[in-house]
Amino acid sequence: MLNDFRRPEAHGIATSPILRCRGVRKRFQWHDRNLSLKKSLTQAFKPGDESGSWELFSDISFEVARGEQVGFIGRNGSGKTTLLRLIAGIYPPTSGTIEVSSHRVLALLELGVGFYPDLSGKENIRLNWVFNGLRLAELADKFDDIVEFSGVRKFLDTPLKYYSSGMRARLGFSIASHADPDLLIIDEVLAVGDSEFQTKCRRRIAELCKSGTTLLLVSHNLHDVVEMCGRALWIDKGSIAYDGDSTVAVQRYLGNAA
Amino acid sequence: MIRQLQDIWRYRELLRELFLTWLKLRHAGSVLGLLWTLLNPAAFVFTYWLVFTYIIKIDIPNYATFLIPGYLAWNFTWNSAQEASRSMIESSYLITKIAFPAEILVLASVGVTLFEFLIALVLYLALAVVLGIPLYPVAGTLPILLLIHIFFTLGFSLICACGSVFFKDVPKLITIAGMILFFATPVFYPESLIPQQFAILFHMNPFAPFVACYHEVLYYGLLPGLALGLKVGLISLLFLLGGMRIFARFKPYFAEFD
Repeated sequence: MLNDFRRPEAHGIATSPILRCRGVRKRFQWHDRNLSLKKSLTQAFKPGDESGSWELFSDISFEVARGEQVGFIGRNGSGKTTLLRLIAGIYPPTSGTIEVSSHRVLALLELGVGFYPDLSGKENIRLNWVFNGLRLAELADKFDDIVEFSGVRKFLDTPLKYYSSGMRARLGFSIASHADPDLLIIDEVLAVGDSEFQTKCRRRIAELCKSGTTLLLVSHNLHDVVEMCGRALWIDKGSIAYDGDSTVAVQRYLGNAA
Repeated sequence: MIRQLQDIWRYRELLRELFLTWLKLRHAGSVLGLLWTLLNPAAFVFTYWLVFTYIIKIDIPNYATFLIPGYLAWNFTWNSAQEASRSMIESSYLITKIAFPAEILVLASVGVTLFEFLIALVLYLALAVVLGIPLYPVAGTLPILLLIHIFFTLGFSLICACGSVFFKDVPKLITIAGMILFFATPVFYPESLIPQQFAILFHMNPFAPFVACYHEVLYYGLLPGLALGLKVGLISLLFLLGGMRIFARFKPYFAEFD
């Protein structure tokens, strides 16, 4: 969507996959802060140079159909988060292609990113909305729902720095979940907030999924994965160890960990 | 390049919101607020006027009217580069969490400094009219000059901002380079004072022709000659296209580096 490696096709036939990853390989570069100027210059201008780098995964291929809910499980450092970031378009893959056939992609990699502490809750809702590439004209209809869901109505004109972290998280989730994304990418953000808010979030996600939103979920809460996703990918040692029914995926992952 | 422009266009509402937000936050909490943007150049101009009128008696009638336009223009370019670099570094956490065209950060930064530049310039012109300082009809070409100057500044800021992501030394370098070049560029002295043996340096300085244009149009009341006009046009185009290309080339690696 943003970079050349993601070529969105116009809203295609409903049956075409919303996401198509082919042979995705990701290699990261060490960025040693103590390098000499000469060395760091030559390194920065040779992104292809593979010395001092490590490979997170070498060949990831899968497709996600429209309206599907897919969980990603695996150990810490297995590359789940990086994979989501590649799909969200934050990093380019080292090789391979990632095609997302929608412009309404919303990635919740952290709640409340892009909030300005000196701005009021109301102003932050506006700013966050446009940061996600959404039209302000659409916000007018959604504004009340966002405020209602987040439960911060009394504090709309209060600068965000006086919000509790729970309130901030609620607002962040509320904005994203009211954006009606085609593809919703969630990385572990359900772990924040109290249990009441978590229940509310789960219910909201279930609602979205029912209305046709495609969900990609990274979570260490395996119960969530089974509950919300019919399908799960177990990522292990840089490749897909299992792709299929989420219950089976979780069983295998747990069996392997034991 | 077209894809880059499309991305920016898609996020135009973000650009506007970010511009307004930064403008609001820039002087929030200070008693004098927006007045600071005028006090800085005013104090500078007053000091230089004092020194060059009473101590180093420079042979320029109405020295302040010679100094002000070129100095404001100079300030716009360098403040933009500095602001753009600062905002890129400050917003690095955004770049790793939200997929949006990072050019927006540079555009909004340049927008804020442009706004301040225009306020100062308009105020100066108004003051000139009130005080009976001659303004020549050629001042009507100012909008064209401004446009060319803005494109140049945008290109220069894109390059500086891009460099700042990879090398934290760049913002410091910009400060030092700005100081040295300020003395090397005929901003507070006329071109004619440059000794013959340094003329080549003057001709190589990409900032000099822009300042010269402001001197011509607002002080001497002359239309910049064809050679000068072509020179600024060409430099401006080169910096803008070059800046956009460099930015697009390295943008995918921003998130990885932070």
